[in-house]
Amino acid sequence: MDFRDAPEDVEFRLEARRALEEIVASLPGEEPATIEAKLPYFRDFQAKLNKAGYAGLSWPREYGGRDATLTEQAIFLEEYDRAGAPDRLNTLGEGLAGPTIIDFGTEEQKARFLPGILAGEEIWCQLFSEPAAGSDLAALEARAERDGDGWRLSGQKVWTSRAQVASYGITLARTGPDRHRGITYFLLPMDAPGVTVRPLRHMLGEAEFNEVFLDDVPVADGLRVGEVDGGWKVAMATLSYERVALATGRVNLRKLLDELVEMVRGSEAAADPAVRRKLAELYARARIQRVNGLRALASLEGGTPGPETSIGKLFSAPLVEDVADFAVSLRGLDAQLEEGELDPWLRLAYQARGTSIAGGTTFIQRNIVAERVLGLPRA
Amino acid sequence: MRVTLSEEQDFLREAVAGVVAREASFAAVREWTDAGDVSPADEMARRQGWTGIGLAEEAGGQGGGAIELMVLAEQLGYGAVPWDPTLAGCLALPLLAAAGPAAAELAAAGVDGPGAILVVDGGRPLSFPGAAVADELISLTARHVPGAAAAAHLIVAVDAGDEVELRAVDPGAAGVEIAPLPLVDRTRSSAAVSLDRSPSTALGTVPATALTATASLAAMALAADSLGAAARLLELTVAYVAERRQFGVPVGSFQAVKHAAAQMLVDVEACRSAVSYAAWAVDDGAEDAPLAAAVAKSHAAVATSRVADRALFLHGAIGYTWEHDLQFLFKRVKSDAVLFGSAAAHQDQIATILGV
Repeated sequence: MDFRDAPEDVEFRLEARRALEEIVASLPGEEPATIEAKLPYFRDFQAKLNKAGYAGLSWPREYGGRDATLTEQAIFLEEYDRAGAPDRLNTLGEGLAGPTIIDFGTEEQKARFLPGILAGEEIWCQLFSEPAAGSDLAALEARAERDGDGWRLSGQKVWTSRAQVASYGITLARTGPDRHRGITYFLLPMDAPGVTVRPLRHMLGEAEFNEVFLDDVPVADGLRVGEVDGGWKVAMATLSYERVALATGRVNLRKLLDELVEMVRGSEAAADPAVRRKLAELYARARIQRVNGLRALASLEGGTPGPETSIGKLFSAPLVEDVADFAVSLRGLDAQLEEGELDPWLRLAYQARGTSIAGGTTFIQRNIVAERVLGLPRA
Repeated sequence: MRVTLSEEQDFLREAVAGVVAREASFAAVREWTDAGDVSPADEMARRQGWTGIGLAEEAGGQGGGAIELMVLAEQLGYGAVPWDPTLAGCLALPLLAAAGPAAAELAAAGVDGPGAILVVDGGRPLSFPGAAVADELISLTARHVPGAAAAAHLIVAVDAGDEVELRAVDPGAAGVEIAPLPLVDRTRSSAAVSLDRSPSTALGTVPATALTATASLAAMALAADSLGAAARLLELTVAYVAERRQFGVPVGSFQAVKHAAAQMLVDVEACRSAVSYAAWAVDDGAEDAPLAAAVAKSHAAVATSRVADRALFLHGAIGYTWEHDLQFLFKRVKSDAVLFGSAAAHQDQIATILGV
């Protein structure tokens, strides 16, 4: 065992660190809190990242990427956190839509969409979940019907993050009766006639995600990805692309824990043994999360993902909740004030609840671990 | 970066696992602990050379360091195999090897015969036992000293500012009392040691940082031991719930059972991450080794206890019986959680390291 970077990775880390520090320092002031205000801030950042050669890190070079190894991707994410770089508003484009187009798209689709993702010009959203198809995605009911050379899409999508700023969405629609082999994958222009985005306010009153209504939306056949009725396979691939981010965690725990330690250090609460111990427990779990990620990555490199990949979300989601809750508890009711800017820890505490539900709920993850890793019998 | 064992380390893991399966099955552990004599386990460890892990081959040991000790600890925890004298000996080896020729000789002698062990209070993170020394005579009391009853030499670490002075006391010398403290975890060998103006021999000195490294090594080894026990508890539980049928189906098909088992895996794998990193950091002498060891020990104490509780619950009443082997692992985890410092004690250390 050796947890130090290999010599070639040391070089990569230092270069990434320098580039990120420079880019972050050049950004105009603090990162805004709302998604609409974040958009220009993010575009500025992404354009600089692209210029420095760090956009599309995992993408092949021929499509403008860097062909980075899994280890380099993990190092980059660590350095990203270390630099305190902004929220990656287009993870759905860069992490999901882009790789899907690269692996399953036509040459026209690649030429049309990949540069806009790398440059941060076009934001993407993911129109998968529906009111009656959440954990059970294959139950989706949105329909695509042939209309001359193209298609007409109708149905309702829900819990769509960033739809209000997205140019395109990856979406699934039913083209046949078979549960899995009757689904087709499309790239949907969000400004097409018949697309209605209705913001859904979450329990803090902010519009983070949306309902998207599709009413006879015309979609050219050139925006179909993969075979007709063959979209399920493409969708499963889409969900697997973010494996490095999933394995290593998407919340900047390092920054959070540093801030938390800083907050307790020197405060009156630091004299309370219960506070000290809770802080230490959270700090320990955050360090363990990092090693979990490194181990998951190593197992991905081996080709056969081990149990360490499956536990990622089950370990990290409650950790983020606990970190945020602890910080909120230190400030008492003041942390729950509604006037002015919301306390960032409070916001995180609520967001973390969302994370436990999104992308496969905690219960679904436990079923997966129990059945596929531990081999327990299906009901 | 390599986050898995090297080929050689993996070979050691397989070798230890093989010996445990052949010579230290639950049946053997039950026989030894029923008879109140776990010395066959000590003899097995000596025969296998495990007593020399952490001492260079040219100094008479088996070589290896913290990672090899982790491998050994995990496999012995997996079998709930008694090994306190070996553990105590292995913890003393690096200190003795660094303290000069007289100490090194004791270290080498301990590989093949009863070893030299550190007199430390096993109920808290490893540190100085608070000895009073006057005219070569030592006085101290320490509770829960692991492996004391079987030791050939009692090594006392005396605080000498920037240095640690190591002194040896003969267990048969005047004023030495070693009173066994039998625990419900019968795989342990705990004893109260009291020295009342006992004659001692100066062995040499090591830098104060060497004792810190020993403390990290001890915390890591106990975390690894409990990791092994927890991994076995998970295995036993998965096998049991797949086989046990109620309402016409295996109880493992019930979602409540699946979820509990999945959380056990999360706990086991998180402990593995914590222990792996700690073992590497201690072995490497990395700057964050004390932090990494405290992280591993504090987290393992909580997480493996949770695994043990879930394992017992998922076994139902049968797991609560004397006849079932689960008791060995369950009790092992619970004593591991406290030996060389509880979760709270190590969390206090983390907070201190963080400057809080």
